[in-house]
Amino acid sequence: MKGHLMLNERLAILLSRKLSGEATLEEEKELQEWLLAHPGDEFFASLLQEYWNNNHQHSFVKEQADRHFKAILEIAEEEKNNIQEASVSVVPPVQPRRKLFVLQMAAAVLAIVLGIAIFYYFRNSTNPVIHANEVTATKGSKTRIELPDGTKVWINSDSRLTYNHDFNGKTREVVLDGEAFFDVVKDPNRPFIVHTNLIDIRVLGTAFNVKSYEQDENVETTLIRGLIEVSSKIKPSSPKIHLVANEKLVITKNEFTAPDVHSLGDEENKLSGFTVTALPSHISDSVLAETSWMYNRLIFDGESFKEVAVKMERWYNVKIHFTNAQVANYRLRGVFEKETAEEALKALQTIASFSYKINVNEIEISK
Amino acid sequence: MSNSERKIIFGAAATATSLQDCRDRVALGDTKAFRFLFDHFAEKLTRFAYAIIKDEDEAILIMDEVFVKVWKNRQSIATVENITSYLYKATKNTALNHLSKKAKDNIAQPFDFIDIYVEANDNPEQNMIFSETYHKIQTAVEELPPKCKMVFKLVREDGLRYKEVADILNISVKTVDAQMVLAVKKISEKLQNHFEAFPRKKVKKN
Repeated sequence: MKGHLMLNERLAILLSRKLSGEATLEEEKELQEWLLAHPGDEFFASLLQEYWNNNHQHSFVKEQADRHFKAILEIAEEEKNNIQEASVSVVPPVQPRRKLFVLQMAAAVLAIVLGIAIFYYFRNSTNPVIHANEVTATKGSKTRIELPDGTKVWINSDSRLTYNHDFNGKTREVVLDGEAFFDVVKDPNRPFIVHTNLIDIRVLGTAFNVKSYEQDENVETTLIRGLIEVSSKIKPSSPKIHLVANEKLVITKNEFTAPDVHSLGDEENKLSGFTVTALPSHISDSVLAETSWMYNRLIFDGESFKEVAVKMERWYNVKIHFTNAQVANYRLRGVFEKETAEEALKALQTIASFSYKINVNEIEISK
Repeated sequence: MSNSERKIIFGAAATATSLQDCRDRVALGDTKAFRFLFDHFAEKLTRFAYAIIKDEDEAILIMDEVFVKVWKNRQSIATVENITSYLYKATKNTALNHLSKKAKDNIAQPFDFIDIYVEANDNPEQNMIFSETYHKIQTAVEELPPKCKMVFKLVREDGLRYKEVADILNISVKTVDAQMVLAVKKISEKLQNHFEAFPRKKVKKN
């Protein structure tokens, strides 16, 4: 027999079974006797036992677990309902439950989705919507409509919403170019889908905002309550992006649409060019930059003057030019409510050094 | 000593019973039971998926997908014999699907290349001497062959029975047993140098 430090085969068998809780009573007894007679092995066995027992498990932090659990339930129910609908299609669609809807409104926290749809989507793509209704808000104006299912839509300046006239299919689908806020009537049997050029947003019963302007560089999605599922139009088989409460998805258009660098294999289906960040949860939707437009507020928070100018162009129906790149890159923070374009510019002058010229709808900003 | 052993055996039995009970309640649509199942397995399954897919985000997606499937098909879950094995197998299959989608490769012997991450313990209350030994053992475990490490991990960290591990990894109970014996032997070998540092041991060996 080898020295005490070498574990013999029999001992290794007994010890591993004992640790795993797989040893029979006889084996346990045999082990115990061996260890009593061999203190060196007993020492090793006790160290191993201590190591074995010292096994505290990490688990998801509660918040993370809650989010996942909620999302899992909702996705499962939704998928389940889709299957049921397919198999028992004779049954008329369930009417939206008004009472629940009222409760839902009372609890109303907003879900926001900001996306980008490119203008030529409407021209070049084969639009699936036949006999479409089109609602447009021009620059400097906003409008509000109610869809046939009761869903309310606020449409921001320079935006267009298209939807099927009867709105009676198995899904409720709209196409958006621009920015809109949706308060969707919950109907698990008929998913609500917003199409934009880059992404499709599948709504699992909630309220949300979509921004989808051709000229913007980013696609942004923010959710304050409920769950939405975002899928890429370019890579339809790639994993869906699920957003849960208080999350904002920002998609950089160029990166998102860029073809994969890897020509082969594992990265093919991966989406890139997007980030998901958390929103401060205590802020109400009227103060939140993403939804403030509904409350006639123009909020900017650390954005460049150039980006603010794009918002102002839509807001005030003006054209803004910069003659100085440094000025265009100023970082600005502020809120406009009832100010005119000129009042807004004057207010900005108190925090940033620039001058401007207004010629009807054209504004030139210089050093 | 025999008291604490009995306690451990009883504890394991109680868990197995409550999990099977949980399965029946999930089948009836009990969300609380489903949440219990989720809390008990989410992290473990995520780590298991990670061992296969090597991508944290995707591992979490896979875990989500498994639970979505369970809830969606909850009526049929009552017929599942062992919910633990079922969840691990579903995770394995989902992860391998993701992997084959990604790699478009023929995965003949998946568990030969799957290397699992073993939980490190950073408990500061550990006494110094044990802590040093602990890390030696930890290192020894890290250096186990992949299949052996996977078995060791599933038994120790996830508290699975040999039968369950065999079922999940599609190997025989005998193999699980043999891998566990191998693990204990390897750990013991790796610890030799450490033991030899004790003068008492050195004297004995000479």
